[in-house]
Amino acid sequence: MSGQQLKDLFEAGLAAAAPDTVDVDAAIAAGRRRRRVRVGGTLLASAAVVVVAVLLGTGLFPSRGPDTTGPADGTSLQIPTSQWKDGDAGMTALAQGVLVLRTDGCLVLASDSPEMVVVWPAGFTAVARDGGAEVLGADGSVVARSGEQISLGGGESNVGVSGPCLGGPTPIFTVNDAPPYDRNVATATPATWTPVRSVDDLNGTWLPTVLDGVDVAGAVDLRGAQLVLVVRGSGLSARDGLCNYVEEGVQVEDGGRVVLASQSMTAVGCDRQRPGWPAAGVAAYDARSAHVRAAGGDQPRQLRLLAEDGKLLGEYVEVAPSTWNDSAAGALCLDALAKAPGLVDVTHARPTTVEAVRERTVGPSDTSPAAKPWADLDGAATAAWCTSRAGSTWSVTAVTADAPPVMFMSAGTPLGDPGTDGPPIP
Amino acid sequence: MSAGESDFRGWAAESRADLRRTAYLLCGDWYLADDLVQETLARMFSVWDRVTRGGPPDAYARKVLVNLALDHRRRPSRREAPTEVLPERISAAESSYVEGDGPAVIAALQDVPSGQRAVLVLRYWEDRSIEETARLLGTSEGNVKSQASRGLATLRSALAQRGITAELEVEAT
Repeated sequence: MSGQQLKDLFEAGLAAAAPDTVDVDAAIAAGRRRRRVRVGGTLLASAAVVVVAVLLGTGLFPSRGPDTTGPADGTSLQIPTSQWKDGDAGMTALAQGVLVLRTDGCLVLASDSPEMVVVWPAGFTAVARDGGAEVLGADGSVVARSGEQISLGGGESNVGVSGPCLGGPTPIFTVNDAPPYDRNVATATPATWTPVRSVDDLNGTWLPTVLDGVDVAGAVDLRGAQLVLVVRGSGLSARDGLCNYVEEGVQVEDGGRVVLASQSMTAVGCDRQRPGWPAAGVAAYDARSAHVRAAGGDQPRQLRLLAEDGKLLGEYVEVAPSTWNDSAAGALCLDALAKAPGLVDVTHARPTTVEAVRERTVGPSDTSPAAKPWADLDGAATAAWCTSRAGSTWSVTAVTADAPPVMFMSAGTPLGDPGTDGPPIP
Repeated sequence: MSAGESDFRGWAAESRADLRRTAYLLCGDWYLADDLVQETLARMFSVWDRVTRGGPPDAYARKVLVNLALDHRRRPSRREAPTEVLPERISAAESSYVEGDGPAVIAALQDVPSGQRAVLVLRYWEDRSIEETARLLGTSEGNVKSQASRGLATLRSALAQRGITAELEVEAT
């Protein structure tokens, strides 16, 4: 065969090309960041560390100490207001939720729907109180407090509104309703965001819900995989079909600085476009602090990454990677497949041995995926057959503690119990 | 937009398709290939002025791309990913495997060790000379020859296992 024939062979392999998803704009943006890092990054280079960094800390969150979760009581807080006042004609939609003082200083109404920045009537003010906020009516009386369940009348109009927290990705709700409001302190959810102080605060499996102001909950790549951020021990990885190779050490320094092992990772999203994804899905390079909110009611634990100016860059919810854990085989599957790309849900697990897996592996020993390093293991060593689902793909995989998993089959439809002997050979 | 950025965009538009194909042959996964190309473009842009002062940027881009592909395969977490080559299938209707020689060729190519594969791709897909291939890979011409020879032998065997007979007696040395 000539060189041309070999080239033709390669050409055959290239025949069914996938759609081109290369994003030149994003590449240029990333290239610019590299330039900046190079120019200003002598310290970065020598330390080979800090990427997501810096401090908790603008006015609302000084950098250290237990009493630094908010400004002193009575400190004036800026809130957005409209020109509406009692007696004016107004909108009559009803909004209900918990009034939350976000770490960026914005008062929002949080509910099952996307949270909304509350725009208060003319003359309303707010002050810091007990680490939260008190909203004062035009007459100076307290009309609402953060942490309360509250009902407000009004609508989503931005006519005549002014003040902070406007113009961002969070929708607004303009109150056209005079106090007293229907408030229920007894059912209020604390809903407090607390600064990340250690890696333990970050441990978990996280799915992004908002990145750069774009709702990405449920956004998947072309293979149906969601981006999953996993923090275990002292490692952080972003896993999906595109950036599953990102795996870095992570630590949280005194003062809340989150430090990653290199500048190449992205803690917020892949540095590229996907359907439903921000055009330039990179916010990690600008992230400066992390905050978590404890689970409450039906709400899972949440994680937020913020820029130095308090801008919300990314928001995540914690998910359990799998609920199948009632045997040693299940635990082995969970542990092994936790390292696989994407969010993996183990649905079936069966115990087996390394030797049994090797016997089921077809193909010459020098090319079989299981040949190395499974071939070097003790045949009696414990292994497991695992049926799992990642996105819309089901797989049956053999796992063991000391070798990479070996996928035996994959399908777009559910695969069931692999059985004690493993998957059937067609 | 600066003149440099404009030049870069023009070059990227012309080169991306070739870069994607080369990346795919190197890694066997279109999505990863796009990632590699994206990263290559980012790195190229970050040094664009310097690179273009030294002449056409294509060779440097290939060097970046190949290094990224090789580096990716060396990353520890890369070894944690399930294999992309499925040794068994359940049925044609359910399996994710695509019928046809194309995927088999790519799968066979992935059986070739990454260093040898890079030589094969640069030499026989990109038609680069032994000298140029050696320069891009930062190795000796003798090593390129031996890697090509071994790579062809491995590829021949891997193709045969997939029912594709190929002599592959190209001028490896």
